[in-house]
Parts: sequence; structure tokens; C-alpha cells
Amino acid sequence: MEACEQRSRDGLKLFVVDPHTIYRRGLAACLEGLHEAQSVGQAGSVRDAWADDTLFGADIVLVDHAMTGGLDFVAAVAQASGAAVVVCSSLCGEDAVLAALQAGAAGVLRKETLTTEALAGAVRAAASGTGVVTSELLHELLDGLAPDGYEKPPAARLTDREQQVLSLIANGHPTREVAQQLCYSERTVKNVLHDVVTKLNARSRSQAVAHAVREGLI
Amino acid sequence: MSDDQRPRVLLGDLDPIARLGMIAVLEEDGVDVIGEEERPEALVLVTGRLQPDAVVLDLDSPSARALAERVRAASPAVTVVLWAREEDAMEVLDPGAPTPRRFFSGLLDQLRDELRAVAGRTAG
Repeated sequence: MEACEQRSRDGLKLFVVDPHTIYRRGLAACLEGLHEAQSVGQAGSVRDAWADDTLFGADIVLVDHAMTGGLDFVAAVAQASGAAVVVCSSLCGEDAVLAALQAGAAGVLRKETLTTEALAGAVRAAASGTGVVTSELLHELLDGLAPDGYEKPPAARLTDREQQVLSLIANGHPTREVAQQLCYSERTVKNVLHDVVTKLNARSRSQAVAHAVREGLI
Repeated sequence: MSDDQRPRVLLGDLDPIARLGMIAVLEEDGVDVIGEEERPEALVLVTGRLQPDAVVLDLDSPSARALAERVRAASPAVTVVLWAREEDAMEVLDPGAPTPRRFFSGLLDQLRDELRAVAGRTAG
């Protein structure tokens, strides 16, 4: 209780760790606009975050756990600083969300659909000791628990990039060739495929391809 | 940078957090963010009215390329930049060019260079 009163008097100390500069700056700009915010620190990597003293005084740390060492950081920072950790990432498949929560995250937010209002709400919830997992992510977790016969809702539309990659995979091209053909790195192709598998609620690439062909998505 | 060389940029359908970040970073770099419009119809109209040097759109959006082509059809002199949230890809559609130029690394620096170059061209 004392800690809460201290916080409301002094304002919240926030810290954002995200390797994507534009998005990180956007998160910081949004957080700086909250009247509860006393300070907003930023780092672009786990290493830079540990090197920043303000991390240890933070009340809430926002982390993209998809970055190198991100998941370990979620677990370690909660222990080292006592901060509430909120994961904010594009990597929000069932496994990724569960891993984040198991690592000690108080909340998980999906970048793809995050609004400034939802971010403000999540930070306020975390400050009051409540966890936040957005309803769409909860649905994703619950879908994983659904019995086999359960019919899943229609899949989201694929982006142009996802369509291009999945079409080439469907035509039998290996990841390396897809990367060459589209002038992407192999890592990008793998990331895109991972997103597609998640988006289509598939368990594998081949299942995603089959689903996409069946639904006319590619 | 003199005023007539400051790039004038309009932000399109980037998600709200990315848009805030884009404004913060570009304005620090001396870029004039002259507006934001996420609705496709309105974006095409506003681009026509304001004639920015460049319009920045969301590469992750399912309709990214279609929207880019609509903007270009209505405002042929504008450069369209497609920006991926994860900063792993950027596409630049130069006026009149049939295909985009693609970038995959050092994207923030590339974006700055592209906007500076485009402002230099239109000022000259």
C-alpha cells in the first residue's frame, strides 16, 4: 500500500526495451503523454537496458521479448528491479504468449493491433498490480485448449508480403529460394512464415499452406 | 537545412504507435510531418491537396501496394515509402517507377537519406 501511495505521489517510472527504433520511440512518446508518467527510459537491446541505471528504478518495463535474449530478460528484470514487466511484441502466437507469462510478464500486448488507449490501459493496470492480456490474445490461448472438433473463426487476411512468401512455399520453393526471389533475407522469410502459421492457427508451414489454398488466401 | 529543403512528409496508415514514433524521429531529423491520414480515401485526397515530397505507408498492411498505387495514380509526383513495423524491410516507389526499390538493413538511415534526396529533387 505504501508503495502505491509513493507511486501516485511521485508518478510512474517507465522503461521501454525494443530494438525497433520507430516503434520504441512511438511507445515512449505515448507513455510520456500519460499524466502518471514521471520518466520514460529507453533501450534498443537487452545489453543497453542493463547498462542503463534507470532500469533498476523502473516501476514498469515494456519489453519486446522477440529480441535477442528478450525472454530471459523478462524473467531477469522482474527479479532484479521488482518492476512489473509488460511484453509488447509482434511475436504473439500461443507459445510465445505462454512463454512470456511463464517468464513472469504481468501482461502481453500485440503490436499489430495496439492502440495508444490500450497501451495506457495496460500500463495503468500493471501499475495497480493487475495483469493484462488483450482479449484477442486470450482467444488465441483458449483456441489452443479447444477440442479438436471445434471450428475456428475464419482466418485474418494475409498481407501482400505474406501472400508472396506463402505462394512460393506452396509451389515447392525452399526458404532460401524464396528469399532470393523476393530479395528478402532468409530470416525475414522465416519470420513471415512464422507469422502466417500463427495467423492461420496452423501447427506447421504445410498446414498453413493447405489452409491458405483451401480458403483462397493465396 | 533551409526551409525549402526540409522534406515534407505525409503519414498514411501506419499503426498509431509507429506513427507517433515516426513523427518523433523525423521531426528530430528536420523533416516536416505535414499531416497524418489513415483512411485510404482521405489519404488519396489529402496527398493531392498537400503535394508532400513523400507519403509513408504500412508495408505490413494487407492493402499496402494497392493503396500505394492509388496514391501514385492521383499524385504522380509523390514518392511512396512502405515501412515495416519490425524494421526488416522498406520499399521506396519513386515517381513513375514501375517497381519499388527494396531495402533490408540500416533502414532508419536509408529512410533519412531517401527523404533528404527527395526533398533535394523537388526543391531543385
